[in-house]
Amino acid sequence: MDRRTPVLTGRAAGAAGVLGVVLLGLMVAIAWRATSAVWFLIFPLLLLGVLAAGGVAVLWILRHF
Amino acid sequence: MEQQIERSKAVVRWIVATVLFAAVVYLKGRGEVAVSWTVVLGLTALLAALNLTYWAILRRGAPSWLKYLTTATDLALISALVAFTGGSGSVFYFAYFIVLVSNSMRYGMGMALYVATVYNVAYAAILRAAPPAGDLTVEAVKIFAFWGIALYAGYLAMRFQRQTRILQSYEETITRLRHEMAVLKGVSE
Repeated sequence: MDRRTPVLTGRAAGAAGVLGVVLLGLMVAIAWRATSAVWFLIFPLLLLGVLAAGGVAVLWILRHF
Repeated sequence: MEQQIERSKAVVRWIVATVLFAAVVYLKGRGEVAVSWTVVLGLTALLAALNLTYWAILRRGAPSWLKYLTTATDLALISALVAFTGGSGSVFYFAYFIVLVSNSMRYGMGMALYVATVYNVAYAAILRAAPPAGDLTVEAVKIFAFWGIALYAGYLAMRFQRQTRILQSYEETITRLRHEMAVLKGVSE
């Protein structure tokens, strides 16, 4: 029986998890320290990035891939 | 299906517009909001014109882009109302949630994310145009709260849509089995 190619490697899942934490930290830092509301314009990108990275990391932990 | 949803939204838009117009007139009469009649009547007229245009489009059908356009214009009009009635301290801030919940429940997670993104951009623009007193952390928390509600509403809509699909497949199975039973009865008699 041939082995299936993994959809996502452990290294990539780990990198996604780290990226998610970095994006979350950036979001909190902007919310805490922003002096202009223009910074809030990148919230959608950061938030969706955090959700995607968190999703990948959780699915990897649950051995979905 | 989409045509029916958009028609329903158009009816709800008339109701919400009437309630908001009455609220603005009442608060203006009491001196609670400093907004000119030109702005109030201009926004109301614009909303009426847009709603009539959407109604005319919906008579022929519902193009796939219409739901995004109606949602974006709803959010733009509410943003204008919020901006003219005090920005971040406006009493009409809650109106954003009407658009969010109404669209998320009808269209699901994709629309919830779209509404939250458009709101995020519009509200940031309002804050940029009229910065509130003090730091912006409270405003950031308001934006996060909106995102949280959007994600939760989208998730609930996804679950509801899944259950609807399951129920539909059960109904189809029951209909098919009834039909097969009737055929078998006909053969045995």
